[in-house]
Amino acid sequence: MRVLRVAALVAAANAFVAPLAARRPVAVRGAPEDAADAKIDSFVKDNKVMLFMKGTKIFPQCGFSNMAVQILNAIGADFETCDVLSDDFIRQQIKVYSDWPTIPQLYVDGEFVGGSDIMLEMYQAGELQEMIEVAAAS
Amino acid sequence: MRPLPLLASMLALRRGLAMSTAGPRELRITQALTSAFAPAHLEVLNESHGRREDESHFKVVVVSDKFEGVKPLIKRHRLVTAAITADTGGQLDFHSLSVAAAKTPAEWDGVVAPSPKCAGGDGRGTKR
Repeated sequence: MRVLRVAALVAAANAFVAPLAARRPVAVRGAPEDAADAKIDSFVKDNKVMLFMKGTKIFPQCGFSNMAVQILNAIGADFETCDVLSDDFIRQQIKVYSDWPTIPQLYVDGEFVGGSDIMLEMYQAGELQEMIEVAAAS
Repeated sequence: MRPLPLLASMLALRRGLAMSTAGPRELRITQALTSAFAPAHLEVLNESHGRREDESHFKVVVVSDKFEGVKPLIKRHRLVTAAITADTGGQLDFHSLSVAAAKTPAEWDGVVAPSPKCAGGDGRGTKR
């Protein structure tokens, strides 16, 4: 009796595990990238000025990310950040999302603007301030 | 007393030394940008702050007629990146690329902004 019950449990467990195991390869291939894409999408759509960076506003972990934060602070922009070092899928997927190989990456009003070199040059030309003001007013 | 030729030969020597220390990746970047843009002025700076031989961080300055009429700036940067990554399947095969300038000769003022220190979030910043 007892043996039978255990066998039934194992069978039930196997019945539950087997389909999961069968699904797993598909899930591993697709899901993390898709999930990262979805997260990036909502970051970019929910925040008019969105910076993907290494570290945080308070503790940037990279000079280029730090420069990006300093520029946005100098403008007085109301901006959100995402620390790519805390999520390896976002760290990789953001480069695919924007077709841009480096971090930081700035998005304004859902559009990819560029990295810190572009931010610096646009800031020096007064263009970044204007772009962010327009976005904030919209 | 002919100071000018002496200065010229010293500069040539320095250039020669600089050439001799350029690693394979630096040479590849230089060749890619030279053939893509026929630049009036080109700088490929190895700013790797672990060991220079890591060839992990580069800053480039490209001054070329080919940027004439190419706007906005991001398009120029994409052209530069595409030239550098053409041989590596469109992927950057090193950690950090800074395009400090992608300008036409008329726009070029000779000023290269200093780079911040990357630190990369992983020590020497060699992770890609």
